[in-house]
Amino acid sequence: MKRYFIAAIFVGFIVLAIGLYLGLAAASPLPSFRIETLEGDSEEGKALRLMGIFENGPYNETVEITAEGSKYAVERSVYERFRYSLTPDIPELERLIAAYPGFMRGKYFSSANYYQDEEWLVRLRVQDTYAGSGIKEGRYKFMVDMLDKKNGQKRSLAAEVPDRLDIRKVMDIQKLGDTLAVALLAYPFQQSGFHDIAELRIYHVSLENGQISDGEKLDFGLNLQANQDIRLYEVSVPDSTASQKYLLLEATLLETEPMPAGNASNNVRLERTIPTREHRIFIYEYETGKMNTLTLPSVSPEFDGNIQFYGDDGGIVRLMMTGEEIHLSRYRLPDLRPDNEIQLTAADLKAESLEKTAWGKDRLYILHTARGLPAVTALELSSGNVVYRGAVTAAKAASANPENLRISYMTVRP
Amino acid sequence: MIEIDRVTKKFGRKTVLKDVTFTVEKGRITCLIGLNGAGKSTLLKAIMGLMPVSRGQIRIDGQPVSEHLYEKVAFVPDTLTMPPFMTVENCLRFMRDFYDNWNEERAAYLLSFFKLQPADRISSLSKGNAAKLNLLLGLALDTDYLLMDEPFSGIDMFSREQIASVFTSELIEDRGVLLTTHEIDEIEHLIDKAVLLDQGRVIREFWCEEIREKEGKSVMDVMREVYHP
Amino acid sequence: MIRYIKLVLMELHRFWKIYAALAAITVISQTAGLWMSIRSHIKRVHWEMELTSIGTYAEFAKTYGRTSFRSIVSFNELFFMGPVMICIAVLLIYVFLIWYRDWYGKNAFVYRLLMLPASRFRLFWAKLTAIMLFVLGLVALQIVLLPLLMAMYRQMMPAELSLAESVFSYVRHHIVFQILLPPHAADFFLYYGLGFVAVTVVFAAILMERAWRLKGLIAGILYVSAATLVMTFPLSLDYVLYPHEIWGLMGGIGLVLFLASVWISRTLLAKKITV
Repeated sequence: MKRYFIAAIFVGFIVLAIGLYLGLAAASPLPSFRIETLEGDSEEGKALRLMGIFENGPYNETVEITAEGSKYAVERSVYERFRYSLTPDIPELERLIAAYPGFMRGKYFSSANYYQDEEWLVRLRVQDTYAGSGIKEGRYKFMVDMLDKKNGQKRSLAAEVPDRLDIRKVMDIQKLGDTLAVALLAYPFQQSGFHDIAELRIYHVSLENGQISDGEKLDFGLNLQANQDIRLYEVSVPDSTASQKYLLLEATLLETEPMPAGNASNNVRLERTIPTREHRIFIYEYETGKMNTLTLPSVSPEFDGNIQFYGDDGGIVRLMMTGEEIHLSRYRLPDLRPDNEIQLTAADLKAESLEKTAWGKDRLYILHTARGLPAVTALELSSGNVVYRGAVTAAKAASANPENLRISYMTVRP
Repeated sequence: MIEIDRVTKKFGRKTVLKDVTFTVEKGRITCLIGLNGAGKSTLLKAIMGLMPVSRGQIRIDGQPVSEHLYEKVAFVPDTLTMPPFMTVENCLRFMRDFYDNWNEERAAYLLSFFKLQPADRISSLSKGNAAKLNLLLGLALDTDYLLMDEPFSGIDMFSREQIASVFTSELIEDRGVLLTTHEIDEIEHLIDKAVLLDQGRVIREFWCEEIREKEGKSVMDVMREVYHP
Repeated sequence: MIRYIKLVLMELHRFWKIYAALAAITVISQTAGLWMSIRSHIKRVHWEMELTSIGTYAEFAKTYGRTSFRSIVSFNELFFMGPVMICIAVLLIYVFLIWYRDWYGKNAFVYRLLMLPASRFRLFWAKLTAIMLFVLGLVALQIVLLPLLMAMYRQMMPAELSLAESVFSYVRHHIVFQILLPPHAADFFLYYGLGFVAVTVVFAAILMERAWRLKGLIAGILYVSAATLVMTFPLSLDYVLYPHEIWGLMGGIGLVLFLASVWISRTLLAKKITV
C-alpha cells in the first residue's frame, strides 16, 4: 500500500503543480490595454493599430493595441508566432489573403505588386533572368497572375521586358482596360561601374496576349548633371492595391561622387542629398500619359519637423508637423489648385505633444499624448474637422501603469 | 499436451532447429537431451514465446501459443531472472502481483524447504540458492506445465539433491515437465521420456521404461549410441 | 488496469534513486547558485558604494540601476541550467536504458517481463508512462522551485536594489525555460505531446533492434530518421500551404506516427521479440 500511496502523491504533485502553473499563467496575463473612444464614431478607432513597448520590470514587452484590446508578442503561442513569421505584416496583403486564399496561396512571400477592383485581382512579380554563370544580364520578365472575381477563374502570363535595365522597384501597377500599366524605378543596365541617373519607366502589358510595349521613360524636366541623381518615393495612398488615376511621386535630388582613392569597392559611390527647401511632386496620369509637377512653397529653414505627403484621386496633401503644431496643405487634382489649408496646434487637438501620424482614406491620424497617456485624434482631410478622439486605457486600472507604455508607431487597416 | 510440430528456427543462415517434432504429456517428465549447441535452450525459449520460430507450430492443449500461455506454462530459465537489487521477498511479491495462479502457501513452504531468507538480496545469493529461488518461482505457480532449462547447472551436490527431491514430490506430480540437463545420471531414474537432439534435429525419442524393458538399455547407453556411434 | 499500474510502479521504483538524485542536484545547485550570486552581488555593491562614496542603496540604484532575478541568476547560470541539462541528458539516456537494462545486466529481467500473463503491450505502456512521469515530475519540481527561489531573492536582496518580476515573465524571456515550462497551456501540451510521440517512435526503433538485432538497428535508425523527416517536411511547404494548413498537417502526421509506432511496438512485442 505504501508504494501506491507514494506513487499517488507523486502523480498528484505533478498534476497539481503543472495545473496550477498553467491556470495561474492564464489568469495572470500582462496588463491589458485598449483604444477607448472618447469622442466621435467608434468605428474610426477600429482601423487603428498601435505598436509599442511596455516596461515590465526588467523586460520591455512588445505590445499591439487596438480597440479590441492588447496582444503581447511574448504571450503569443507557438502557433501564433509560427503564423506571424510566415504571413506578412502588411494590412493590405492580410486582407487579400483572407478574401482570396486560393489565389494568394504561395504568392505572398515573394515581393510583388497587387491591383484590384470590383472585377479583377492582378498580381505582378518581376523575375530576373540570369546568364548561365549566374551573372546578372539586366533582363527581366513580368510574371502576371490574374483572378476574375466574377467566376473565380485564374490566368497567368509572362512578358519579357524589352529593355536592359537594373530594376530597383515596381512603384505601382494599374489595370487600364485590357492592359496593365507597370511603373518601374530602374537604372540603365551596366555590368559594373557607377549607375547613371534613376529612371521611371512605364510599360504596358496586354492582359490578353502578354505583349509588352516599349518602356516610356518619364521626363521629370530636371536637367540633372553628371554628378547628380534623383530619388523617387511613392506618395502615401489610402490603399496601394486600389485603382488610382495617378501615380504620385516625391523626388529628392542627390549629389554623387566616387569613393575616395584606394577604396576597394567599385560599385559604391558617395551620395549626398542636395539640401532643398522646395518640394516637388510629380503627377503622372495613367490614362493620358501626361506628367504634371506640383512645386510647393519653400519651407522655412528653421523648420525641423516632419514633412509627409499623401494623395488620392482627389488631391495631394502635404503635412508639416512638429511636436506643437500641424500644418496641412491640400491641392486638388488634376488642376493642382490649392484647396484648403489647415493649421492646428497641439492645444487645439487637446494634446500635450504631437508624435506620429498615419494616413487613412480621407483621414489623418495623429498619435499624441494627452494627460500623459497615448492618444489618437483623427482629422477628416477634406474638411479639416476632428472626427475621432481616442485614448489608450488600461483594462484593469490597478494592474497597469500606462505611463510605462511607449508607442513606437501606428498603422491603419484599410 | 505440449505439441512441438516441425519447428524450425534460423538465425540468419544458421539453422538451429530443424523440423523438431515431439510432445510433452501432462503428468510426465520429458527430458530434452543434447550436446552443447544442440538447440535445447532455443527450443524452450521458442515454446515460451521468448523467440519467434521460422517455421512450424507449437500448441498447448491444442491451442496455439498466446498471451494465455503463461497461465498454463511456467518457465524456469537457466539463470535467475530477477533484478539484482531485489530481495527474495520482493521477488515473491512481484510474482504475487502479476500472477493470479501464484500459490502463496506453496511459495512459503518452498521458501522454508530451501532455507531461503526473505531479506536476502538477489545479488548476494549463492549459485545454489539462486537456483533454488529460481525453481521456487516456477513451482509456486499453479500451472499445468513446467519447463526447466538446466536446473542443476553449476550448483553443489547437496543443493542438487534437494532440487532433485522436488521432482518426486507432489509439486511435480500432475504436471507435464520438460527439462534440459547435462546431468542425466542424476535424474535418469526420474524421467519418463527422453528426446535426443543433435544439430537441431530430433534423433531419437523414446519412453525410458520401454527402452529399459525392451532393449535393456539406460538413457546413457542410448546417448552413447547416438552421439558416439 | 491494475497490472498496468503495478508495472508502472515497478518502473518508477527501479529508477527512484537516480531520479531522487537528479531532483536533489537541481534543488541544491539552483539554491546554492542563487545564494552565492546574491551574496557576491551585494558584496560588489558594498565595495562600489565605498569606492564611490555612495551612502545608501537607493542612491546606488539611482546611479547603477536595480538588479533583477534574471540578472542575478545569469551571474551563475551554470548552477542554474547545469542541473537542468543533466536531468535532460539522463532522461534521454534512460529512454533507451529503460528497455536495454532489462536485457543486459547479470540477470536478464526481460524473461520475467515477457512471460507475465496477459498482453505484453502493457509493458510498452508502462515504460512510456514511467518516462512521461519522470519528465513531468522534474518539470513540476522546477515549477515549484522557481517561485521559491524568487522568494529567496526578494528576501536576500535589499528592496532598493531588487527589481520585481513574475515567474511567468522570467520564464517567457528565458531561452530554455520558455520551452521546458511554457506558460501557455496549448504550447505546454504541444511540446510535451511532441515529446510523447518522439518517445513512442524511439521505443518502436528499440524494439526493432531487439527483434532483429543488427538489421533491426538499421531499420530502427531509418525509422527514426524517416519519422523526423516526415514530421518536419510540412515546414518546407510554406510556399504552398498556409500556416494553419501546415500545422494541421503536422498534427495529422504526428498522430499517424504515434499510431504507427504503437502498432509496430505491439506487433514486435507479441510476435517478433527475441530474448
